Amino acid sequence: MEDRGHNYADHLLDPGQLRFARSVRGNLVVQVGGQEHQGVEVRRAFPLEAADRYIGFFLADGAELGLLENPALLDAQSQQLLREELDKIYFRPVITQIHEIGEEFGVVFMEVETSRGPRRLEIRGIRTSIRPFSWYRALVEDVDGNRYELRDWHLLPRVTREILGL
Amino acid sequence: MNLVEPIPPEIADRLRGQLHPRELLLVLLSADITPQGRYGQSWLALTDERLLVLHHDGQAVSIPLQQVQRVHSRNYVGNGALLVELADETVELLRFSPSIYYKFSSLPQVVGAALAGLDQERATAEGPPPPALPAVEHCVTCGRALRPGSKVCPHCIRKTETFWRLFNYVRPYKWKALGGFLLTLALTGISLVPPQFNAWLLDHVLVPDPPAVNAIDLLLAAVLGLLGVYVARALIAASRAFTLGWLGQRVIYDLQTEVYNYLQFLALSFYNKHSTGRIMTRVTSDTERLQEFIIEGFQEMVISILTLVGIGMVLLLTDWRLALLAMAPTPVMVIGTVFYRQRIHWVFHGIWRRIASLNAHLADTIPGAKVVKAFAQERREIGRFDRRNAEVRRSRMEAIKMRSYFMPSMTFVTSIGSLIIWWYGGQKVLGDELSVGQLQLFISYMTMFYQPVRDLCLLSERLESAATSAERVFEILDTPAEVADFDQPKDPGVVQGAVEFQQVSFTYDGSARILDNVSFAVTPGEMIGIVGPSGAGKSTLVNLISRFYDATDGVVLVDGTPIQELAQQKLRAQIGVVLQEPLLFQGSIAENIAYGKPEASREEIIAVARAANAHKFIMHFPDGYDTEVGERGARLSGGERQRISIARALISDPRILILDEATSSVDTQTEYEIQEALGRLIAGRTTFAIAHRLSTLKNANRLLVLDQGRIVEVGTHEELLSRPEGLYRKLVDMQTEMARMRAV
Repeated sequence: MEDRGHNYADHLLDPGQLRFARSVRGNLVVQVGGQEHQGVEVRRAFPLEAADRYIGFFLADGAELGLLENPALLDAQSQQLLREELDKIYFRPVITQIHEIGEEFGVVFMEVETSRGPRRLEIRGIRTSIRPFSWYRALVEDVDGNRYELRDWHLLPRVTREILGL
Repeated sequence: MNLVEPIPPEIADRLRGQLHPRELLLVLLSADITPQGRYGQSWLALTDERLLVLHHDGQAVSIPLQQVQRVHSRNYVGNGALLVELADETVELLRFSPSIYYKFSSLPQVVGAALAGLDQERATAEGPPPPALPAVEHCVTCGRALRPGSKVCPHCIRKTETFWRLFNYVRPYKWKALGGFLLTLALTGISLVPPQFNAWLLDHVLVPDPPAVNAIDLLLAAVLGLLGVYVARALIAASRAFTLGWLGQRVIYDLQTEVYNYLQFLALSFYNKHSTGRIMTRVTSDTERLQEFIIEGFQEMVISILTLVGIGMVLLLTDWRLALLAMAPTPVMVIGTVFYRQRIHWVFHGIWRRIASLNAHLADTIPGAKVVKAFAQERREIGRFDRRNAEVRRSRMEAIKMRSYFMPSMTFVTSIGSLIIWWYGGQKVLGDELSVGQLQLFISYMTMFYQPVRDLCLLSERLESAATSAERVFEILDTPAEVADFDQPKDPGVVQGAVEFQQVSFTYDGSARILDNVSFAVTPGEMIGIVGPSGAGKSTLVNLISRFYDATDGVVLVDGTPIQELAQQKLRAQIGVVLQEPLLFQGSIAENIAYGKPEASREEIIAVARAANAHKFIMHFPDGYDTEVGERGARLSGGERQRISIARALISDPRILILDEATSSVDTQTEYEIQEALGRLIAGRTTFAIAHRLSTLKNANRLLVLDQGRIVEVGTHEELLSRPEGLYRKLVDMQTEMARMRAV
């Protein structure tokens, strides 16, 4: 048991020791303790269920820099930079309004308004392409692999929900 | 099983003649094939002095135990023999059919014990008790062979009892059921009313000449009355449909839940004996068919009978002579329908069988398209499909032919009934013995009469299919959970990890022993490698530790307590298992890792994933730990699944870890990563690792080498390597040779 806890704690990043900055060209620079790292890959451990916590950092050569449990403990500027970086990597517009929805030959098509602008999407195989997760949210993947998030789907009209299989 | 069978008197006499007074009889068994290869009984007696065989033809063979080296049974094809090894040669003692293989499976040990000079008490009390089960079980009542894995004899199951048992599922909803039944009665009753109105309308309003003064009022009243009847009928029909639907869904819900609950607690051996598809059919279609019968079939039967009786009564009371004439075609119809049902049953049977064969062909060749193309056999496959398809068409045509003859002929028979009514009824009307209204009544009732007749004729088929489904569902519910907990199982507490096998034997089917008298003891924290050729019993051995099966003989102890006395679930919760083909369930990676501990925190999940060398690749999935693994984990590679399954095994911090070929289905790089992870994990846990690649077991404290169910060698890697004649040495040499050949 101890070695496991040890192992886990080994890779934890201390929010007090962690700072983010931008390089001249706008790239993220990660400072751990006194060391600076560039080209760090930032990954969410739970992009759906706990997007704002458990952020993993990997160096350019693939080695793991560490895991940050709670970004809220960072200083305000670092938090801001981290959020921007995550927003860049995880592009998942939220569908705010469904103007039109229909289904033909097993393909669902939707005219929607998203948090990043209007969009028309086609979804094939709702069972695998629309994946509900906690708090009445759902991950929607269209035929091209674009990903969207649907919120509060339980408030959608009955027919829309039936079409989406929710 | 008793080792002394009851014997017929003449054998007893012959035996008495052979034995001297102080000779102790230990075993007396009958075999069923003579040395000449015909069916016939021979008897084997084992005493404290000799082996004695009495053949049917009066011959006897006696072999003193002093000459006997060993006794063993050998399975030939379609029969087997008991062989005795003497100093210079091996002699065949008896031959027997596969039906009784089980009787002789434990004999070698018993004879061995007798040879060891043990007295009778020890030989029978301490020697391994023989396996109790014949390979195929037979019904205790009628002696027919049961289907594998089934304890229910389809012949002896009492149909009526089955049906009563079905109605138990309605009992919790008896008031709703009663309501539904009353509504059914009301519906049947009210359906008989409109013809009465019609008759009255004809006789009192339309036909009388001159018409009654208030004829138009009467007409209105009759039409309004009919309207009322129709409204009432619609209401009753609606509430009946709803009530029965409600009831039906309840019953099927209860049935499916019960069956599924039961399935979860059935021993693994049940799953070995039944195919997944069949079990699934039982949970879904069979329960559905039962529900349909309980609710609709039964109600329809009642409606049919009531309608028949009701209409019959009314007609007979109106004019019994005409009624009897009108019903004259009924016997023709009954005979015709019953005949039709029997014929069409087999026709349909044939259709299903041929469709199944067509589907099998598709299931075979579509995934095998590459092979078909590689051998350029497209034409042949088309031909084979065509033949099967043509057969389907032929048998379907047969059904269509039968139906196209049957339906019109039945309609014709029915029309004969109305012709009779028109002819005789018409005459009566002309002779003023019958009113026009009554004639009309007869005509409309007769059309309502024949439908229930036909339904009742087809009923037996429904009963048959419901009975079959019921039997299959109840079979699950009646199969005892083979690995049952004691009434008051002990809580194992926190397991230390000591595991001991005391003379453990195991057989799946009563004949072949997968494990044979295996004994060893493991101290907490030790790593044990288990090696041996395929089929040596390695997986069976570890399955007994998890208590997926109970040992046939002997005891498995965990921390000094026989595992039968421990609460199964609490024990298993502390045993981590990693299988060769890790099966993940639909859901996210995080959910799969936390399968054995749903309340695990995210920190714990990441920690065990990290320990299993899985964290990094998981973090690089777009959805990280939230990645959906797909059915059976189909969206992940074998190595990824394996590492997730290792993390899953670790989440509950098990004290005993079982690795069954955990790394044999992955590439070398992945194997290295998994090995590295495993090396970290086994510290502090009792570990049993099965591996084909022997290099992976170098770190084991001890290796158990199994061959044909027995432990043939025990020791460390180095110790075993130093035995030039040992099996382990041979296996290692073979693998080294293979590796060398690959390298060349």
